[in-house]
This record gives sequence, structure tokens and C-alpha cells, in this order.
Amino acid sequence: MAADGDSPPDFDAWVSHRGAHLLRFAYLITRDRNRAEEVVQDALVAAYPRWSRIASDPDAYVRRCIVNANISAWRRIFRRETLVDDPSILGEAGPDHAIAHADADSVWQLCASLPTKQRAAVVLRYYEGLPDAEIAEILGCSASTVRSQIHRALASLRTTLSSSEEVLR
Amino acid sequence: MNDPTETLLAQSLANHATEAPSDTSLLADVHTRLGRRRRARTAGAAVLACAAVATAITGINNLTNEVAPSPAPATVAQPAKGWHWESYSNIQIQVPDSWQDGTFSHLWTCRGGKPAGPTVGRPTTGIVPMMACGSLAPPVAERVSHAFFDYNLQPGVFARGNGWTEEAKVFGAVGVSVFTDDDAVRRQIIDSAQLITGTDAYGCAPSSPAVGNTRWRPETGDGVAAMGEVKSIQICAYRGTTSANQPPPLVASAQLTGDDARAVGEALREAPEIPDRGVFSGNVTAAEGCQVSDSEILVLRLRGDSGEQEVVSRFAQCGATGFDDGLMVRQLTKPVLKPVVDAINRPEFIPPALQHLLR
Repeated sequence: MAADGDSPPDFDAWVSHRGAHLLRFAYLITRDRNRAEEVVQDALVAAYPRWSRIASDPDAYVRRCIVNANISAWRRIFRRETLVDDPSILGEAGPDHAIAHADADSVWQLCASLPTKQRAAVVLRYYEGLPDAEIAEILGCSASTVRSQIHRALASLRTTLSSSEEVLR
Repeated sequence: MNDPTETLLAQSLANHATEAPSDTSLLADVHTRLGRRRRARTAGAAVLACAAVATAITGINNLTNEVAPSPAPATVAQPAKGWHWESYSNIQIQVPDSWQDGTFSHLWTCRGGKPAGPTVGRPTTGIVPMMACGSLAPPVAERVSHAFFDYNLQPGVFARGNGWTEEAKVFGAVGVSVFTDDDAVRRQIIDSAQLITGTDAYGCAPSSPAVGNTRWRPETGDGVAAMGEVKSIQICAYRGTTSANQPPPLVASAQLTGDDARAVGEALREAPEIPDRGVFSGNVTAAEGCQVSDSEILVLRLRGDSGEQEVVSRFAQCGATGFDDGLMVRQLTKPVLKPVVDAINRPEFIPPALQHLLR
């Protein structure tokens, strides 16, 4: 949300404007509606007392909080593995657009197997359409690391998709 | 993006983004959590302060071997300076002192005139003219800041144009809606909203055994005459009747202290006894022009030098009126009634037949 002139946006106005977008981003990262609401609220509660400092660019701060909330230490302990459906059953669909739809759904399922940072990089690139430099700022890494994360994620997805195609042949 | 995997990825993410949760209550939820955090910090600071005091007292006791003073009684939750608590049903909120009780409500277009200042509205048991009522906010010139307790509210934050915002917070069946062009005030009110667990800030429970039982009388205490100088009076106003499927009947609450409490206590002792009225009659009839179902009741708890005493007062439009301390029923008098009604800011509380007492 563009602030009026040079003044930073008001917290309430910014959340009202960006809330839905943040929830969509969080849902794509967490893949769980309740968890998405939780991490967005966590991020905004954390942002509120720092608002005067981050109001010039709250997007990056809040999205970083959302990503970090999903990979916090205790969650890493309990969520090392994310269950995904067997790829061999994901492509069982009819011809034409149904196949494309099934493939897209397969991709969604397979995204769950990506590490959170890779998934976040993929969401920021392919859903948010952000350049590598902005993704790097949000993820707290370099642009080259972002490119490498996305490259690995795509390779992983391609491998899994092609293996599922092999199974279906 | 010519790579099919990238295209699939973008398509899949766009499709699934539509399944994300709604942001309807996001802002309200965040402010609820911020409010909770502030309260927890305040409580934590109080605990630390108490711990420090307790440690100091323990240290002094150890040195002097004297008995520690007994703990002070629980105090009313203190509102922010210039603010006060308002309760309804099982919810309480803090509002600025300039926000006074009134009948103004969301029934914007049903009002004949704009109130002089911000108000706190409550669903009343009286008749509400709803014909031709609209749900849209009125023109800016006719708007007035208000908080309104209500049922079936939709939680969320709603822009009403020209810088005015309405925010509603719901606790089960009952909620509170705040409508104002002052965002900071709106936030502070909404953040303060909480369920009443046990009793509210004035010591009133969401319900009372006196509700729905016109024969109920206070059972403890030695009567108003025996309690010495009155130091404080809790005032709890309830709907006269309730049922299992209705929210708790608390309508409003307040407290009198100091000279006000002492004066009301003296006036109550001096109020003439109503002869042969050892108990309220619940058998008032339509022929007597009474509308018992429309009545509201007051339950007062007086604290004096020599003890506490509950007093119940019913305001049916005939017959069953007076102050009952369980031993004696006294007449309604202006020196008692007016300060009490003023304290809860509910002049409409008194039926028309008794309005002369407030003049």
C-alpha cells in the first residue's frame, strides 16, 4: 500500500489493505488454513511494536516473519517430514484440460515435499512474481542462493513428476 | 516462463491461493492478541511488583519477627485514566468518560435527533421503532461516536466512509460494535473488550437469583439499619426476566463511593417502610396497568462499617416497587434512586410512572 506522500502507512490501514494477500502467501507456505492464520497473526503482532521502524517497508518484514515462523526450531524438530500423496496416484485423470489440472494439483502436492525455504522461494517467485533481489531480502540470503534454491526446487519437482509419469506408463 | 514445470507451478499456486482463509477478522484478531499481550504485561508487572513487596515484607518480618499484615482485598480492575468500564450481559469494555449511556444505536435512521456526545448503547427491553430503519450509516453530519452492545453482530472492521470505521467483536451470542472516526479510541475500546468471568469490574455477576423471581429476597446481612456508615455501593442492573436460551441478563453496572455512597446509605435508612410489604408481590396484573415482563431490577451491594448488605429493587410500573434488604421493604425515594440511576446512566431505566422521582 502506498503511503500518502512520504508518511508511512498506518498499521490498521496497511493490514486492512494487505491482510488477504498475506493470508494467501501464508497459506501457500504452510498449506494449512489454521496455520496460515496463526503465522500471519504472529507476524503482525510482532510487527506492531516495531511499526515505526519497519513502516517504510513492512511487506518484507512481515513476510520474513511468516516464513521464519514456519521453520522455527521446535517445528523443525516435529515436522522434519511432510507427508505427500504417492505421486503415482496424482496423475490419474482424464484427457485434455483434466490432465493439466491433475498435473497442477500434482505440483501442489509435491510442493509439500520441498523444504520450507525452497517452497517460500518458489511461492515468492511464481506466485508473487518477485525478483530474486527482493526474495533474497525476505529470506535473508543472497540472490544467488535464491536462484540456487529455486533451481533445486524445480529439479526436484521435475524429477518427481517424471517419475510419476514413468509409473503411469 | 516457457518451462512447463514453471507454468504448472504458477498455475497450481494461483489455484490454491484461492483456498486461503478470509481476512475478515484478521485485524480484529491481531488487536485482540495485542490487547491480551498488553494486559498480560500489566499483570506480569503487577505480579513482579507484588513479589517485590512480598519479598520486602518477608524480609522486614524476618528482621522484626512481627506478623505480616493481612492481604488487601481484591480491587476493581482499574481502567485507563479518563476511561471507565461499561458492562452488558457477559461482556465488559472500557470507554472514555465522555461516552455515556444512551439509547442511540445502529438503528441510525430511526433516531429523531443526534445525541450531544458519544454514547454507549444497549438493547433495551422497551419498544424500539424499527419501521423504515436503514442499515446504512447516516450522513457524516449526523454521525456520533458510539459503542453498542448487540446480538448477531458480524465481527470485523468495516470502513464507513469519510474516515469513520465500525469494528465489531463478538463473544458467543453477544458482541460489541464500536463506530467512530477516532481509530485510536476504537482500538482501545475493542482491545479492552472481555468476557466477564465471575464478576465484572464493579463486582456484578452476569446474572442474579433475583432475576425472574419476584419473590426472591436478600438472605444475608442484618439489614441496612445495622451496617453502619456506607463506604461503597455496587450497582447491578438486570433485565427483570430471562430464559435459558437468552444471554445473561446483566444490563449495566456502576459503583458509588465516598460521600455519594454515604449519602445514599443514609437516605436508604431514612426511606419510609412500606407497611404490610414484607415481600414483593409477583401477582401484578394487566388490569393494574403493569408490565412486569418489561421491568428491570437493581441489585445493590452496600459495604459499610459493620458489614455488607444486599438490597434488591424492582421497578414494575405498579405495586412491586421499593428497596428490599430482606428484612424490610422501603419506599423508593429520590435521594436514593437518583444517584443510583445517574451512576448507571440509565434514566430510561425508571418506568414513566416513577419518573417524577427523578425530577
